[in-house]
Amino acid sequence: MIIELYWNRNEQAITETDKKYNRYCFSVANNILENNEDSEECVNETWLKSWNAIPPCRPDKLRLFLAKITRNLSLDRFRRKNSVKRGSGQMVLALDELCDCVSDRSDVESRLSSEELAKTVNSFLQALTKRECDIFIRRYFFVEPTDKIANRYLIKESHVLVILSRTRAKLKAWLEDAGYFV
Amino acid sequence: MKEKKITSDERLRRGTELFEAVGKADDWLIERSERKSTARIAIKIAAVAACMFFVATVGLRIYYDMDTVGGLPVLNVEKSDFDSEIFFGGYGDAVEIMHTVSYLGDYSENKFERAWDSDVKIEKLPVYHSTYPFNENSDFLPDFKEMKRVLLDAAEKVGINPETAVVEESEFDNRLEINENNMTISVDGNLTVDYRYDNEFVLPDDFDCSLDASPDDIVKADKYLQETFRKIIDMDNPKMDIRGNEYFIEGRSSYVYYYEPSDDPVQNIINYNLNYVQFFDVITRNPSDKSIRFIRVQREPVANKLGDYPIISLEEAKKELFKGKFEEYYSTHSKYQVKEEDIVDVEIIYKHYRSEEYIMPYYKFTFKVPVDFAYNRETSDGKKLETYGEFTVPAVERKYMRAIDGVTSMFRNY
Repeated sequence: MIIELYWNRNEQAITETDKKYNRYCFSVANNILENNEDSEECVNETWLKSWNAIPPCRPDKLRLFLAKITRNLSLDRFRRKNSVKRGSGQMVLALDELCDCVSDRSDVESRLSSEELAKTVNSFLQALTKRECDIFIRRYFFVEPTDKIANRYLIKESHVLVILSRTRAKLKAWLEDAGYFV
Repeated sequence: MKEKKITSDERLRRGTELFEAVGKADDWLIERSERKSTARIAIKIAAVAACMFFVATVGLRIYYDMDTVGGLPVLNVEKSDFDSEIFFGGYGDAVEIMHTVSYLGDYSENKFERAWDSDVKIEKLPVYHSTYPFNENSDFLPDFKEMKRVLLDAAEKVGINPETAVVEESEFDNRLEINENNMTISVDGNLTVDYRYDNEFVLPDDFDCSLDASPDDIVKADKYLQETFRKIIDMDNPKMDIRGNEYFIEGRSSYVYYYEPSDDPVQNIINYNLNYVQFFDVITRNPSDKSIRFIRVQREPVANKLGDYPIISLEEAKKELFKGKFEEYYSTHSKYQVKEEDIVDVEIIYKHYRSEEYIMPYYKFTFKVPVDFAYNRETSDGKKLETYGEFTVPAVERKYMRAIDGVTSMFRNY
């Protein structure tokens, strides 16, 4: 298995990972960055990160482990590129939509650490129906365009938009209950 | 008083914070979202059935009758179940089913027991529903009352008083656990118990049940483990089984299992695959580091049994393997197609990964990867190693299975 190649410090691990997961990770990056060159660089950085992380990590699902690394690297790159001027594209839209879940008042602040916030969001996702959760993750984990999500689940795009909007409203209430922005 | 609004930068920062939090979602939630709609498959099947209706007016019944066949629930099997390593995500067809499993001087170096005798005909094997991945909308929810009973029973075996033990609920994966006596004992929805030591359990210096150990050493190691962990093993006639075989830079890795052989061929397969105790890292990568990190007690999830399902024969499974059922996936990785002469072993196994919906039997084909496709590996002392791979083919008869995600590729040869 590829994981064992990493554990053996066998550089073939990178070759095999690239062979097997390049297109997948590229898609994850490109949904966020919408730029081939940047996405390719993110994927290459992902291989380096995974080489440094395994061992000691022994991920259960290498594909998801890589997806999370790619996503984080892509987000960093997105931030750097958009620090001067506001960008455009799916990522900006997705972030803008997520802003619906947070308070827009300046006299409130978060009482949750990033770890606590992650746990709260995770428990929220588990509380959703399968359909709501899947669509939420497609949109805000994979930054997939809503028409593509509609195609994936064979529903109308307007239905996807309604589900996302309702789910965001639920998340806002859930976060408030958990003490996020009070 | 008018509310003061945040700046757009601050709003975006807060949104990004949430985006990062979503990135830490549980793997099973992300994985589940990658499956395409079962409705999509249903529509495809219905469309095919509708076409058949014009030809033979019975078409639609085939689809609607699929929920049970002969009183057995139809299994919604994903394309990924054809192999543990297959990737079927929504990002093109970057899939690979060759699964490199081990590096050996020769396959015959394996010492594990044979659970299945291919000369003995087996008609049916049980299938179970897994309570993983946990999903509160599922019809198969963990039985927390039973989990607690099993956990307390497990705790008592290592000297923890069940009357005073504090049972905690693990927040995210719905395990119950007890933290006491420098260990964590936990149980999952399938009633698998893990004993995890805070500090590793150190084995005696002369303990050796490695693949290179002498028969006397093995007997001694077996006796030691059975005496020390008698209550945890908890079997009338436990049999030691050394599984795993890979070479690593520092040495070889294998794991010690105990299971109870049975004269009944089906029960023997069940005991081997689903009723066992596994000692993790008894033989570690570094042979001088002899310790146990944790012990897993796996039990047949009887309460979740769906029924005894007719299985296909070994020859039928082989046919699927050779028919090119998987050939469309090779192009992304290699042009290699498994051949009869490459197969070195066939077993019937049960997979019970957390991400699988069913605990069901598979034919596992182990094959020697031809030299053109193999990794070039040697041991530290220069011994050339062979690469072995494996394919798994579901053993249940196809009329009891419904493909979700990938119906066309999975069933195209039926």
